[in-house]
Amino acid sequence: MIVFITGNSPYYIGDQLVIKRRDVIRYMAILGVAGAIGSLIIPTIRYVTPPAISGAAKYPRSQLFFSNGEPVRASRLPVNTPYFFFYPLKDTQAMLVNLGDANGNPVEVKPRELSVTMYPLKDLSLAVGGTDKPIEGPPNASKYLFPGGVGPTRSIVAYSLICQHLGCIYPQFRFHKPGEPTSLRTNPPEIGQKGGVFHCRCHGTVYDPYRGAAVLLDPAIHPLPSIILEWEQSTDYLYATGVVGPTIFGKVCNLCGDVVGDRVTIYTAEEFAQLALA
Amino acid sequence: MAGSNMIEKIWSWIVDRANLREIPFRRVPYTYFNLDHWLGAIVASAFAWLAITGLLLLIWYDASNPYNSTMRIVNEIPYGKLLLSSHLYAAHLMILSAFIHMFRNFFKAAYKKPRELLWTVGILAGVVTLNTAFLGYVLVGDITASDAINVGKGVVTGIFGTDLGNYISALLFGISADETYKRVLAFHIILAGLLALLFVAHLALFEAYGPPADPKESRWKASLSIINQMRRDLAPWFPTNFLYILYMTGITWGLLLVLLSIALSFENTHPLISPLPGPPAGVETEHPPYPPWFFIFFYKVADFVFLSIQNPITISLGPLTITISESPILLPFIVGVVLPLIYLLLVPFLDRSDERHPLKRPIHTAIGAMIVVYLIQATIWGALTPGEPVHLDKALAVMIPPMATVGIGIYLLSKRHGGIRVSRASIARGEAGLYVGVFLLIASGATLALRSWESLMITKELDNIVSIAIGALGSGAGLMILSMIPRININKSSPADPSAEISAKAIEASVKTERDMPIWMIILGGFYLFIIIAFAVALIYIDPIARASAIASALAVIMLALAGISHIAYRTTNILPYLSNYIELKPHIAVIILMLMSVIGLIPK
Repeated sequence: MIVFITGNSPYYIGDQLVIKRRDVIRYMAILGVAGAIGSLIIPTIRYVTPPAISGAAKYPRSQLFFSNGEPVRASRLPVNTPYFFFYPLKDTQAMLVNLGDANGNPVEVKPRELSVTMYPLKDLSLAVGGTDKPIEGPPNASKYLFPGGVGPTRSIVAYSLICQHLGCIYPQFRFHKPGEPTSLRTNPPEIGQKGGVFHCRCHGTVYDPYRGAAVLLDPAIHPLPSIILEWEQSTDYLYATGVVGPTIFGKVCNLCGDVVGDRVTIYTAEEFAQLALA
Repeated sequence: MAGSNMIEKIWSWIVDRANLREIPFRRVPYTYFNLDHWLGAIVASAFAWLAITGLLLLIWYDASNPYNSTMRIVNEIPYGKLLLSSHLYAAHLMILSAFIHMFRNFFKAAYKKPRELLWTVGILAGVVTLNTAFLGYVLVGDITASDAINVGKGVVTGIFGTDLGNYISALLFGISADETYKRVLAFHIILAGLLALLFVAHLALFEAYGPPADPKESRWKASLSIINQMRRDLAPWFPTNFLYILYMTGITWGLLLVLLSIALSFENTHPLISPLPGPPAGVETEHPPYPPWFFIFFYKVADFVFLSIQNPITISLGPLTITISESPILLPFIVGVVLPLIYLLLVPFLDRSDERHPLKRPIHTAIGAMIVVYLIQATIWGALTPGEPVHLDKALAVMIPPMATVGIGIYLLSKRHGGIRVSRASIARGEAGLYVGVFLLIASGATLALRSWESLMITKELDNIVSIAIGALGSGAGLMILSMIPRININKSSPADPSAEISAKAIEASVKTERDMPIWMIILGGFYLFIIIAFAVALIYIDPIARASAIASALAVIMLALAGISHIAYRTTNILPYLSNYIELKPHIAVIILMLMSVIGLIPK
């Protein structure tokens, strides 16, 4: 039992805790201040929180054009030359490449099942002698189907060009064609030396574009999101129609923001640099 | 209840480590805990509310799209309407309370040695406050804002001439239109930061000598106005001052939110008091463009056409020739703003006597009273007849009656309170001139008023009566100020330190009686605590966008309950003797009345 008396500080008389009235008021004041401040926390958080971003409901079907306005024709796309474009949002850069081997012949890229979270393969690029081993991830990681290459030789692919580790972009994060060594050594070095990979100079992540941009070397644990391409056989035109894989790095959702229109321009490395300077 | 022992331990650990019992702030006697000595706390609490809400508003405000981003804050962001409108109302409250704070210290001569710097920094802070407020209400981007930008440009070029004026206007508002709001936002924040620095300096200078001692203790002498820190009746800064600050903050925020919730629960409010932005520029409105109330006085002074310079004036001083270009508001600005400001800045150096009683420095009391009266008059006049040109006769009809009232009043009061009888002989000694002068002033005022009355009878336009009414109102305000002047009742034997008579035994006895703290304090404290928790929970369930007035009411109740609980805690700190039940309950009655007023905001529209 608590006894209200008017004594000094709280103390016990036998088993009875004695609290003076002044102490009760002090506790009340402390609780009152805490309650008043506490009442402001949830409103402040609700005020500061951005409202749910209402992006487009579905991915746009965007035809690809060169910067001179010519529509991109799949059969005339040079091999192993990277092209830069923005898809699905106006600020998410992506790369289109007609993949080939070290001799410049197009290489067919097969569809395969990937894991959104995966263990690094620690293997060479499939174009320069990698083994086609299964891609493994934690048992509960969700899987998705990488659609493979398109075009007459099934060799044209497109990926988000934002590293899944910490979001580095071109030119830190770039494609090296087969035979072109990475500008920084990788660990183990032969993976980078033989080329045919995406390499990030920020923290050394390596992806294999020939296997749906699966992670070859960590620290990244997610493959690059793949841009779904569609080849219209009758006209030879190329379309970007969607994104599969993990969410694009730095975005709440792939469509949260300014979505591109139905015409998308692809740029060469030089043009892309000019664009950045402008 | 081992938990309470734990709280006790944590609490005493915090008190010890922060050394709260020995905070090096000035201590004041427990008789100083009243509104008269704590007006500055109201200004400071309003400023704190402004700082918090202003920084939060920065998250959603977009200077490249001012009106739309403001309306988005009002209509789409949760609690945005509350934040924006309470930012405005807190600014109103801060300016109003700063004026009251300033005039209180003016009439009580708190600016005298050694507090001259404290006063000057305070005046500068007031100037910065008004400028910050101007930039702040421009930020909204509504019709008032775009008018204000144009008026601001006009005032600047009108005062400084075309060349310098355009330069200053480009500095403030930029050259291109999309630059304007970015600059206004930047200057608003820069000035607010400057204000924070001035506030810190003001507080530090206040701590240098503490508040001026009460007249009874200092015999109205500036030289005796420092409170001896060895007195026995000083309250410890912590917790007494701290809890009283909490009480003042709670009351200020509560009052602010109560007024806001009432204002938000009405559909159409007059633009002068509307808590929400007006229509965008280019939309027809029923009201003329109004500046905010604290600038209306200048708005009216700028209407004084007889002060406008119609033709360029050239002054030749030997080889030096000064040309004052044609300017409608240069003289009004000097008369209405610059001169009073210079006077207020310099008053500690003009009034250097040791006397603090208003009647022992009658000229300054009269000037101060006239500033108050003219401020009130010009504000009301400007609100009633905005933009209407004022000719000399009307201006005199407004200005002379209060001048006569205050002049005669202070003269007679100082005679009476000085113990001098106003007799025929004293009139014969040369005061006749004064009376005749004053009589002539009254007579001329009355004549001018009659002229207005006459023209009212002829034209039947009600506008003509406004100047008479404003003149009478000014006289009334002047009389009210005079009626507040206390008698000079200096008891030479009254001690500078009343606590010298308090023996250690008396203090012990007062502490002992205080231990019998009434049970109603605990019940009331429990009620306040319950209210805080109940409304904190209720707050989560009120729609933050559609029912901003209810949110304001709920927050007001929380803040008022916080004030109440802090007041109870402050009354139970050791040094304060328990007074009668009525005196102890008085602040709680005020708190509960305000709480009941906030119910208005809870009623759905």
